[in-house]
Amino acid sequence: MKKIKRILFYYHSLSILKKFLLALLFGVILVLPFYNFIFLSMLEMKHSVNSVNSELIPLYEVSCDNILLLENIVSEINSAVSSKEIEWIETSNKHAEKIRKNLNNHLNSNYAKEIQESIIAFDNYYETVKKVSKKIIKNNYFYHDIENDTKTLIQDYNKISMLLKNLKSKTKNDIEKNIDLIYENTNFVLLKGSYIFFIWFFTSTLIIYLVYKDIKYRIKRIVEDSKDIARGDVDFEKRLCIVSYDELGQIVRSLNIFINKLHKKHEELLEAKKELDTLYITDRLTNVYNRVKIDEIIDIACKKKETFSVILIDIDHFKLVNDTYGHLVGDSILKEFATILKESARDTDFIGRWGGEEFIVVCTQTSKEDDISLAEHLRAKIQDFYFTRVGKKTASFGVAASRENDDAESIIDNADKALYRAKHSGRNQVVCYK
Amino acid sequence: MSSHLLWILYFERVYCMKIILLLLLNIYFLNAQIVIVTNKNTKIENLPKEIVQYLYLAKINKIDTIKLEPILSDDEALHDQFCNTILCKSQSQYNSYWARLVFTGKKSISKKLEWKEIVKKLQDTNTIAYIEKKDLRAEWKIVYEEN
Repeated sequence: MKKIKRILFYYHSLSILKKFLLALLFGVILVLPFYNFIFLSMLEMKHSVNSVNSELIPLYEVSCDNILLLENIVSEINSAVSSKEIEWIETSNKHAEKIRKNLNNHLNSNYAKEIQESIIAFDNYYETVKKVSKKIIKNNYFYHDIENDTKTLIQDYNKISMLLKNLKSKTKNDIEKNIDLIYENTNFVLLKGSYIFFIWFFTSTLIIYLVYKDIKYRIKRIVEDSKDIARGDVDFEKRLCIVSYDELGQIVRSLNIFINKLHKKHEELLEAKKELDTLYITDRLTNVYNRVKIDEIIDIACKKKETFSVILIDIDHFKLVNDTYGHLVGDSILKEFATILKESARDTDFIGRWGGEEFIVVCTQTSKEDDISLAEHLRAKIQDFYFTRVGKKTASFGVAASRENDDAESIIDNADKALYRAKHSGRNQVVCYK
Repeated sequence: MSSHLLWILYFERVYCMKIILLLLLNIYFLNAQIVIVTNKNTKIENLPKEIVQYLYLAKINKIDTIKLEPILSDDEALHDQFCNTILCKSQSQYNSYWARLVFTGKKSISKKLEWKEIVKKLQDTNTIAYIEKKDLRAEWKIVYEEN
């Protein structure tokens, strides 16, 4: 298992070119045993050809020659005996010499045993034939031992004749065997050659196909991972899986680096957007919502058909403060005022600056009575608060609860009307619109 | 004178004729009749001349699965006559023929036997021998006779 993992790791660390070269390499490795066979066959063939050329063919020729020479000897001696010419017998010596020479020349070949035997048999025969033929001539075909002598002669002749013929047929057989061997080896080489080609071809093709499949699978994974990341809201937490260490791996790494950078930029942008959003909906002086946000909240609440209340708050005699103490003191009063509102409001209340010295509180998910009591509570708190430099200040409250068919405008308008009445009824009081 | 001459002429003619007659007679006696014989118990009755030739020239050695051994005689004259009349070969032709057989490794030259040996050999069946007809014995039978 560990080995397989190591092999796979090694495989994944190869470049695509090397992976494809693997196909050729494996082809060659599989082909090597067959090549080995071919090489051995070629050696055998070479050996056969050498043996046929250097040994067998000359030996075969010599064997044929020897058989002819033996016939020559027979014919010479036969004619000598027929003509009763003892001197003629000696003329066969040259043939005998030739036979001996021929045989001795090939004494070192693989047929040494047969040749040795032939030499002995020939010498034996030649001695006998000369002796017997001379005897026959001298005795005019008639002497006591003629039968035994001729019998021995015939035996000797048949023996040498047989040996020479055997040598011939043996060499001939061996030549045929060698040629058969060459033929077989050639066939073998051709067959193995075809095998080599096919095995190499199929192995290479198979491995190329597997490598292609693997690369295709990994590309698919990259594509799917990319899609996964890009699907819907881009998930910048995800990264592409590094599938290998080749060119595809490099692509994946590059993409991951790219995604990292995008992620970073995206977060920066998000941060910036958040800041911008906050700036967009916040009143910069008092740090409460501005009209934009409050309008949006009221719109949403109206659309949801929720019951909610709007409390409009106006600081009493604020113009006087601005005129007496200057705008900077006015601003600080506004800040302190907003702080009181924020501290006293509940989680479900949205506080905003409506403009100038007017503030607004949108109360959601609460009852009208609660809202009125909140307004009362706020009024009391402001009344008790000691503002910087200015001292005590009061504020008027106009409360309007939402009713059916109310829209943003109408409810604000209702609240405004309530506030107006509060102002005219002597300020520092809460008036609910009815 | 003339009658004397005539006498001489007559005498010479008669003399010559006598010599010729004598010579012819001599030849007749020298060329005694040759027969091929075998033991009485041999299952061969008659042999044609060609078969005898074949047997003696070693072209065949059996007739109808019966193996026959030809026997040679050491009687030069008889052998010579046998060659001439039965084998239709001269002595030298016969010798050359056998020399060829020997040197080409086919057949060895058989021993030529004395009369005693021939008689002994003919006690066996399946042997044939050539003899003068006058030497024929009761235990033998003639398988071929030259007319």
